Amino acid sequence: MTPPSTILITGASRGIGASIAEHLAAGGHRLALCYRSDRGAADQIAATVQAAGAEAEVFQADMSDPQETRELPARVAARFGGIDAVVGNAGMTKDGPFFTLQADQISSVIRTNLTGTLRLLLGALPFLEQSAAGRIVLVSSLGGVYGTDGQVPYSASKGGLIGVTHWLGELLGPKGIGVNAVAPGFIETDMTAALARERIQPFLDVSALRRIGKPEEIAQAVRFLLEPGYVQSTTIRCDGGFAR
Amino acid sequence: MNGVLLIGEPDSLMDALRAKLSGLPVAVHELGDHAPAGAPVGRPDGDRQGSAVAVLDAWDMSIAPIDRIIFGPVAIEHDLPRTADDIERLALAHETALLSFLMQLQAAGRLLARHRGGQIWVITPDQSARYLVPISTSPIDTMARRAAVKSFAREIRRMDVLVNCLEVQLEFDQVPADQWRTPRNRTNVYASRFRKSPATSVAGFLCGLLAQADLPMSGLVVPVGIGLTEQSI
Repeated sequence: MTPPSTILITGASRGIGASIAEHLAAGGHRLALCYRSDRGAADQIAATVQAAGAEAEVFQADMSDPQETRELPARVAARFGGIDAVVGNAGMTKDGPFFTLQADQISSVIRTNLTGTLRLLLGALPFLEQSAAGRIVLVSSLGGVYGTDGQVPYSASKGGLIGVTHWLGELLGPKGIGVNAVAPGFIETDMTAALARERIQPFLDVSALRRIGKPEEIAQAVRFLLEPGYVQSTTIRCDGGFAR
Repeated sequence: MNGVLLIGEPDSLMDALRAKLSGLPVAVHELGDHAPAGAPVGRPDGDRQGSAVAVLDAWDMSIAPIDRIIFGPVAIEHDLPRTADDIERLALAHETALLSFLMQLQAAGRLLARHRGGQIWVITPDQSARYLVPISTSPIDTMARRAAVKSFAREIRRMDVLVNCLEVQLEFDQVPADQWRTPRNRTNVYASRFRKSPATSVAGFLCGLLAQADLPMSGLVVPVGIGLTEQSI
C-alpha cells in the first residue's frame, strides 16, 4: 500500500471502519467509504480523510443485500479506475442466549457479516487481480477465535471470516494477493458501548494489558496487513493479550 | 450413555461410528436423507420426514432416549467462482449450510438440556489437508462451526450439556494408493512420521469419549491425527 492505492472499506462510517479510514488518510490513498444507513456520518469521515490528504467518496450498500454487495466493487472501480485493496469491516450483531434467538435474527447476522463479505470479495476479485499488489484484510473478532457466550451467530460469522482468510489466502497467494484478518477483542465502539460495563470488565481483567482497546489500535494492524509482505492467511489477534 | 443420534450424510467416519456403536449396548438413531424410513426414532408416529429441527423439537425421549448427538460434516463446493451466478450459488450454499447447522445445533442443545444433559460432537475436517489432497468441506463452514461450538459451549455447560468439535483428517483415506505418494511426501515437511488416521480408529476414539460420563472437556476443538494436525503445524 505504500504508493497511493484505491482501498474499499466497508462499515466505514463509524467505529473501527472510520478509524481505519482516518489511519490510511495520510498515505494519500483513494478511499471508497462504504456505509449502510448513516450518510451524514460517512460524509463526515470523508471530509476528515480528505482534509488529511486522501481522496475519498462514500458509497451506500447494504451488506445483507446480495445484489448491492456483489455490485459495489464495480461501482467503486468505475469511480476510481480499479481497486487495490478491500477491508471487510462491516458487521452487526444480535446478541442473546442462543436458545432465545429466532431464525431470522441468526440469518441476518450470517448474511451481513459472513456471506455479505464473501459476495463483496468475490465481486472485487477481478479488480484485485489487475492490481500490482492486491490486498484483502478482514475484520474478524475475538468471538471468531475462541467464542463468546451470548454471541453464537456473531461468533460463527466471524469464525467464518477466518475460514475465508484461509480459503482465499491459499487460492490468491500465488497471484500475489495478500489475504489476512485481524481479530479485535473489546474495542471502544458503539457496539461495545451498548454492553454493560460489568459484562466487559471481567474480560479486561484477565487480559495482559487490562484495558479496553482503541479503534486506532485495530487500524494500525490493518494498515500493516495492507502493506506488501510475507504474512498470508493469518489472523492477528488484537485483544490486549486476552487469548493465549 | 443411553442413546446416540447421528445427524448427517454417510461418510467413512459416520459409517465406522455406526459399526462401532452397534457393538455397544446403546441405541443408535440417524437423521438425514439417507436414514431408513419407518422405524421409530423418537416421534410417536415414527415419522422421520420434515426438517431436522422439527424432528429434534418433537423428539420423544420416552420412546427413544438419547444423550449423545453427533453432527457429521457437510460437503460444500468451494472452487473460486467467476460469474455473478456462481458467486451467488457459492454464497447461498454457505449461508444455507451454516444457518441449517446453527438451527439444528440450537434444537439439539435444547433437547438435551431438557433431559438431564449429554454430549454434542461436531465433526469438522482438518482444513490444512487442502494443501495436500482435494477435500469436500469448506474452511469457511468449518471455521464458522468451530466458533459457534466454542460460544454455545459456554452458554449450555450449566445445563449439563457438553459441546465439542472433533477435528479429523479422513480425506487422506480417500486418496487412491497409487496417488498417495505425492501427498504423503508433502506431509514430510511437517512431520516425517505422518500416518493416516483410519476411520475405524477415529470412530473408536470418539466412542471412548462418548462413553465417558464425566467427560472433562467442552468448548474445545479436539484434533485427531498423527504427526500433523491443523492446530499443531
